[in-house]
Amino acid sequence: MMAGAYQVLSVGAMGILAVLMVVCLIRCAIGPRISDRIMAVNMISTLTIIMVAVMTVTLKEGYLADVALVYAILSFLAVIVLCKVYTGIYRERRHVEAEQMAEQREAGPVPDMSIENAAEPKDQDAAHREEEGTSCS
Amino acid sequence: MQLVRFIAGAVFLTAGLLACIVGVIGVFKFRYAANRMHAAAINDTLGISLCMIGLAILAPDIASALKMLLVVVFFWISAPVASHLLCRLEIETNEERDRYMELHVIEGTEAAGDPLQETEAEGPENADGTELPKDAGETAEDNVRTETVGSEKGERI
Repeated sequence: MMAGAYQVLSVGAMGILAVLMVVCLIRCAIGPRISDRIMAVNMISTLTIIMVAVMTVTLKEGYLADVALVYAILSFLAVIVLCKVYTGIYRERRHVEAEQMAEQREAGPVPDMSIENAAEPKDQDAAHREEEGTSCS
Repeated sequence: MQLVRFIAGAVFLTAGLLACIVGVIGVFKFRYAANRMHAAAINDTLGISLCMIGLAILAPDIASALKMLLVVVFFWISAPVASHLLCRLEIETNEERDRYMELHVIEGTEAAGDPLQETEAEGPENADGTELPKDAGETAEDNVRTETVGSEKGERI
């Protein structure tokens, strides 16, 4: 009787977790921003850790707890690496755009657009505003 | 004794799964990415903690139970770090962030050459009417407090 109760509990828990993982995958697919996608991947790995732990109890195999622990470490590392990579890609793109803007505006008077200032993302917006004649200073 | 153990573990596991369901629903309910990050944090803290406590009660031996609790301790450390990095990515790469949040530089973190400086100089003044520091620094990006303001109704970002 006890084994049947364990079976029902674990199968039910894994079914719920599977449904939640599919829903998280939908969020990952429709997420409009890159941070939504990374967040959805993080949630999927969290649910996977719970699933592995449920399997530890169901199959009565102690070593699967090690698998859950290593999976936790790897998912944390994946989030950190993805965040760093996408921040770096964004900064590099803004840097290239700012350099192109500076080259285009070399003919006219350039008030405060040295390359060091143009490297910052918000100074790009300042350049846009100065072009439109709505300087904020 | 076996029955008591099973009931205690099943209650904790069910509570954890309910917390996971709440977190996943919240990820679809909110309109802005920072709000959705808040809902996802439920999953990372309360959901996995309750599930792991329940599964540690049900665990076949004491070693695997301790390993499951170690997973919870690791998540307590790693989830805030991951959320912080994700929020920095969101603030830094969102070019329309002024529509969804106000950024305030925390006092005492002034330096020079900050990408958020333009936002601070142009935005509304602080709640107490004081001018925001103009020379906010590179490190101030770590110390911004985000508040979401009401965006357009029914819009999903």
